[in-house]
Amino acid sequence: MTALPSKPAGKVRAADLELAARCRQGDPDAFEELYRAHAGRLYSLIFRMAGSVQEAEDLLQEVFLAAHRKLGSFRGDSALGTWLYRLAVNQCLDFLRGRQAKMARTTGSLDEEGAEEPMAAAPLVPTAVSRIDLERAIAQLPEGCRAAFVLHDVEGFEHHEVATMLGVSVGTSKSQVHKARMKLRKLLGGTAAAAATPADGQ
Amino acid sequence: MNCQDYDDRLGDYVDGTLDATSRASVAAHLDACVRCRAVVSDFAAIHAMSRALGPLTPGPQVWQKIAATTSGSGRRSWWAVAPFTGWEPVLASAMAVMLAAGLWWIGARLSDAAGAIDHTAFTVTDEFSAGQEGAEAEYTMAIARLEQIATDERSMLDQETVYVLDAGLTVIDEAIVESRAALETQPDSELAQDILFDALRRKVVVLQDMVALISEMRQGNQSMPSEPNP
Repeated sequence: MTALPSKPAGKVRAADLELAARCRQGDPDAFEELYRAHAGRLYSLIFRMAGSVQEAEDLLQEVFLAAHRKLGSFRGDSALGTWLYRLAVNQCLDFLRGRQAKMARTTGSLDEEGAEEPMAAAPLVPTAVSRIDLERAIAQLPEGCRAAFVLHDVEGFEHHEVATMLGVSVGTSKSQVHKARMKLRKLLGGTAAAAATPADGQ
Repeated sequence: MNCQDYDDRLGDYVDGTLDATSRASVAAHLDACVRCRAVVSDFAAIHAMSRALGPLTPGPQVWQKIAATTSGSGRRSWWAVAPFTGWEPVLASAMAVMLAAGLWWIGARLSDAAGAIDHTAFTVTDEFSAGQEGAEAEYTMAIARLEQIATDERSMLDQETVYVLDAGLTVIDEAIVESRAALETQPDSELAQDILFDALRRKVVVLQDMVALISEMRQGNQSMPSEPNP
């Protein structure tokens, strides 16, 4: 699908360089302009990966404080949005790894949670599932598969890109996304119905 | 081949990343298997819904905290441009009005028993004896503790109450940000220090009352009026 979000080069890139320069020079409004332009997209990514408002807001704050410190190194090799997005992904993954390591010490790896085989009671109809239901269901996913799912199904990265970001194999990325989709089927589709018989025709 | 043999490829089928041969093989299985057809249909729906999710909005306090931290180096406050040109009474009266409104609102919603709020629950060392940095650190810690409770439990409050309190806290936060920015450029300004401590004190009071109200709501006090008395 798509690589890291990017903007067309040219005028937009020049505008990014100008905004970054204004931030570095201490323009009173420039950093707020940067925040207003990108906070929503970054917060959406972070919230869906972290799974809680409080942690997402803390992480967003850390991302922009890191950006404030590092803007001097921004050379315009990528769009400012892409540069910030990478910063947010890395910050988020560092946080998740730390949290997962902490939890693994006490509860074991979340990724080992049972590979379920739910059967949705009825086919999922996009118009019948509210955005809030879906957000809630994503937040309930086990941590390991949630990160892969958000990057693949929500953000639109391909498995080889997700694998690189998460530091896992492509096969692991696929199995994590598969596990997440199965779990979401169950969460969104209600109670499990009787399994249909394989190869039973139309 | 049974369903398990195809399971790993259903995701790739939905994503459209199978080669022609594999795709034809999975498609043939789907024609004959209700279970796998349902899985593919649901996976496709989940993928489509997820891609269509819109952006979310972080709370306003995120920017306020960022601005408070970066104001010294990245944000040139209007303090630095036009210091002491008559803004102080405006800021102070705005804080006072918002604080009064917030406390009135809370007071009207608290029962008599909970109305007697112990404002000394979070005592902060006198700033003159602790020094500016020490006192500010104590206020900051008290505020952080209270904010944690208020953030975690804010769903206990009705939307109108939250709106009134947030409006008051926003004004106070602006005063904190501006006075800190002023102290960056004018560290000896007693006026800026006074306003900073006044704003910090006011924030502690509002948050303490907010926590008391949350506690009242949690106890499910039946005598609490549904609307504040005029």
